[in-house]
Amino acid sequence: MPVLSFRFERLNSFLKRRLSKEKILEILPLLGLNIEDVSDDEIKVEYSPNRPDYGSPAGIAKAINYFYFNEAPRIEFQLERSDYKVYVDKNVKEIRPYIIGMYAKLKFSEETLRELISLQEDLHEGIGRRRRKFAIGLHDASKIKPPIYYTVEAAEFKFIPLYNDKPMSIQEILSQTEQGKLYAHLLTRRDLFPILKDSLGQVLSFPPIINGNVTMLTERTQEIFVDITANELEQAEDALSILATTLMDYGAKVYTVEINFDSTKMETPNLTPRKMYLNSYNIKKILGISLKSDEVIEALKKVNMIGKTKDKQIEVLIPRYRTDILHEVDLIEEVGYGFGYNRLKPLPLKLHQNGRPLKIKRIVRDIRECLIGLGFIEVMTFYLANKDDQKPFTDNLIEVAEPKAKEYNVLRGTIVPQLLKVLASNIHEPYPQKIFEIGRTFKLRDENNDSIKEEIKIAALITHSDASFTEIKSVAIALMNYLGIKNYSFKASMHPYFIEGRCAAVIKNNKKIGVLGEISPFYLQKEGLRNPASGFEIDLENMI
Amino acid sequence: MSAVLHPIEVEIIKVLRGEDYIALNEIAKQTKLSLDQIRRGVEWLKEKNLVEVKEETSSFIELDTLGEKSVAEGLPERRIHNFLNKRGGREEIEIVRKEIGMDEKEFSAAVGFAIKNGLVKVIKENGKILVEALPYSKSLDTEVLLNKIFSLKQIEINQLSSYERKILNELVKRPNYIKIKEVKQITVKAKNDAFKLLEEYYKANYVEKLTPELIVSGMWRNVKLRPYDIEGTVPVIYPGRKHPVQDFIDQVREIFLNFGFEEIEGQIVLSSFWNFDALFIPQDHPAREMQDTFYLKDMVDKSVRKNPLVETIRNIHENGGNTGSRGWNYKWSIAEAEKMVLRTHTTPITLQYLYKNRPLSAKVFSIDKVFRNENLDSRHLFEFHQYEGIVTGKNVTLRHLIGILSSFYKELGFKKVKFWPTYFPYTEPSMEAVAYVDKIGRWLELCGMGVFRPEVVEPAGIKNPVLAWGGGLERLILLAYDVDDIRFLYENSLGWLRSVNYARTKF
Repeated sequence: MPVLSFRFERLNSFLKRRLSKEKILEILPLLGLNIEDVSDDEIKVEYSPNRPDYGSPAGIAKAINYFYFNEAPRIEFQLERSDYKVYVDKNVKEIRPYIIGMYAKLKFSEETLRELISLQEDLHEGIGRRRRKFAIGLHDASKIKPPIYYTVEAAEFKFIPLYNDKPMSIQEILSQTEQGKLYAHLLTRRDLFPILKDSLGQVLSFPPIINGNVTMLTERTQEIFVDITANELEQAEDALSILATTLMDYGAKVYTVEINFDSTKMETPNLTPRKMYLNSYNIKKILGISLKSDEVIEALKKVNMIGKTKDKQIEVLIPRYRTDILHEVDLIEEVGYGFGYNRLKPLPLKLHQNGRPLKIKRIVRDIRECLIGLGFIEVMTFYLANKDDQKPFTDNLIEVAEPKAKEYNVLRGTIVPQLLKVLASNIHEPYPQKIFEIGRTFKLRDENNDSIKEEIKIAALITHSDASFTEIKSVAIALMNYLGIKNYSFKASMHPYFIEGRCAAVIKNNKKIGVLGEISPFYLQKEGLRNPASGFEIDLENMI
Repeated sequence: MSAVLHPIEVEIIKVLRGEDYIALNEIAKQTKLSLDQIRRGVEWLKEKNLVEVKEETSSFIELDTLGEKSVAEGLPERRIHNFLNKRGGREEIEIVRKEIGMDEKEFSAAVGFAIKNGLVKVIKENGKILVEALPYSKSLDTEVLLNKIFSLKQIEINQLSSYERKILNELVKRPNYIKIKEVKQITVKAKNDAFKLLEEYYKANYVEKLTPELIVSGMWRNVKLRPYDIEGTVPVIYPGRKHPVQDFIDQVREIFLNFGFEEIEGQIVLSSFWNFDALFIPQDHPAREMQDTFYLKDMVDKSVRKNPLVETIRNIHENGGNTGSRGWNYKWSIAEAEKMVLRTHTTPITLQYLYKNRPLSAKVFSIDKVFRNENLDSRHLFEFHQYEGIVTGKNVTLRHLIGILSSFYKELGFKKVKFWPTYFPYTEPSMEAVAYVDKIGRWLELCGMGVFRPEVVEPAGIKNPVLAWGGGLERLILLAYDVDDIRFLYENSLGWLRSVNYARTKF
């Protein structure tokens, strides 16, 4: 979840009237913001990824103005045209076809610059999906001589990239700069690259990689040109509308720019509000509160939306920067915010039904109780296990890709190796030690089929200086008799865990349902155990 | 109290000789008994009036810090005398003090002792005060005593001569020279009756074991069974036990069942289709990346392509389908949907239940394992438990969800619970429950909750609102058991498993 830090005073500078620190801390959670950390004069909040407009103190302050100070909603904007025109070369169509932009006049300060860049980063990471959806370029417009050209260049093309002093070729930028290494994978071709430049040939940016140094923003910037390039238009326009509205929250005057494609022209940003319909009946159905139309409209005003009754519904105008409103339920949630979630009183649920446990859990409980009664201690190990530990005992291990905890790289096919590890970590504890686990194991249903069978196994181990086959066989018999299992038998068998000649298969209805025996000294020594051990592993479903 | 001697008493009496009082430590040296056993034995013997017990306090003297220092460097008065001798016999008093390096208080006391013992004299000459060394060659009595204590390390005061005691009193007045330790010693003397009983004990010929033969034959009437030291330690044994995590799961399970919920369970390995897509989580959502989710290597769920539901879900993602939603506006890929994952939450299982049963009303829960691709550290596991509940029915609203969760968490032991709005991709509205926990003095996140989005439930044919909530179990267990490191819960340390008390009143 994205986070934002700012001083209380900074927030107050955007508020309609000054609020105390306590009041601010009270209001923020009602807007859906999570307070992470508070110091004397600063606060760190976490905001939901569906509200990128909360990515600046000005954006948050604006929301407080609507919500707490009842500031009149502002969702429609008549933007003047700037003189900026962008010409899109037809060659860029196959590589990174879309570009939109805007021009704004704003007196920057060090703080404003920092906050704008932070918002840009949050947009890139969040709805930009790490620049996969779009890339934003912020430029000091005073350095630009329009018109602007969105064109292509070859790998040898050179320019001075941001924070550098010498020209570098595109090739060098991709292989040597931090941004180059991070984002090179987003480029679709290796021969031609998108470049944004002005009429003097100055490079504004090489999207989505890095800006040119010539148009770098500073605290002295007074006019800004924003470009957003993308492979799809939708999310780029979302980001541009958030930037446009935020700049206006900072007090900027925003102008449109003209984008000239091959055969069409666009004027951006397009901040036309969206329209959606809301039913009071559905508000009651979901939130459980009955509101009259004018109450709904009042609530919507508090979240900067304008509603008006139309037939039996409410027609809602939604500001363009609200990219999260997909369905009527999103509007219903907004009504909830406007009404105040802290005002929703709980209601008792009157849905009568009998509790119904799963049958298999009763059996598992019986097994657990029997083994506890026999003096066994329940352990819980992970379903993810180490390939090398599992390999001697299971074919067709199911592997997971790139686990962060590298030793846990397969789904276990058998539990006994993990129980041996439990014993290995308890060699300083008093003996005898008797442990068990009832848990899942995984295997492929059959060799060619990519379908996985999940089974429940009962595994137990006993270890002490006189641990034996006899002892564990007695336990297995006691357990099966306790559960009322009939028709079972034992047959001499071989299994890699167990000492040859001291291993039995547990058979039921002519099917092998488990194994039992004395653990081979190879594994005992390998795990650093000094006492003999015996154990079993039985499939639960086959046993019942 | 019986007149029969206990084996411990027997051992003690054997050691006691008629006339002397013997200290407990001595008895310990001569028998195989521990001091603890001896103390007990002596108490019993005292009660039976078989011994006399004296408690004596002895005083022992030892050197304190300055006492030790003066053995090494010389008493202050001696140092003054030595200094003056090196200086030619006399010097200004202030210079002497400075050069020896004593503060005024220590120095004037030292000069006092030096004069008293005849080491120096003080004279006035030409308006200056001088100190002059007197001829003195033997050791001071105080020096002799200090050295004696030093070599013996500790002396009982009674062992000193009366003259030495006089010197001691002088030394004791000087702070930090002497330490006096009072030690209580218990000494025991046997009475004659004790020896009589000892003889009887040997004659009695006790029997150790009550055997079946003795019982059946009636011969038990003719033998004496040896009495036991009932306070003695016995072997530690451990009952078989449920794992504390399982115990906690069972408690939460009981709450759900008492609330009338139906228990369900499902597969751990799922297609992305069920784990993400059917829950309206877009394919480019960060949680779907390998950084956060376990994908199975080289495996796809072949059944996905055959599932007719796929087209419906595709449309919903791309443009909202028939749900009245705008959708996510991107190109949905079936290749992404058929990838297999270890489920990241139990929600797909409840969703599958809704698809299968299309209930008009239902209350369903599960508590089971979920997986996130994380490294193991004190706050994260890659494999942990989630509890989840859903309620659906006519006239079931968000307010009912707040209501049921207030009750649910109250049962669990949380008294102060609040609900805040938040965001999840598959519920709208969404909230989170937080509780104030006195134990840790702050608010703790308990769970996420909300009403399932229409994009999720309409393809399943559900028309009534579906309320849902879910949270991680381990963080509650850590709180209940006062454990800091989450990995410890699965370390399976027998020391802990054998001794931990199950958390019954938790928070």
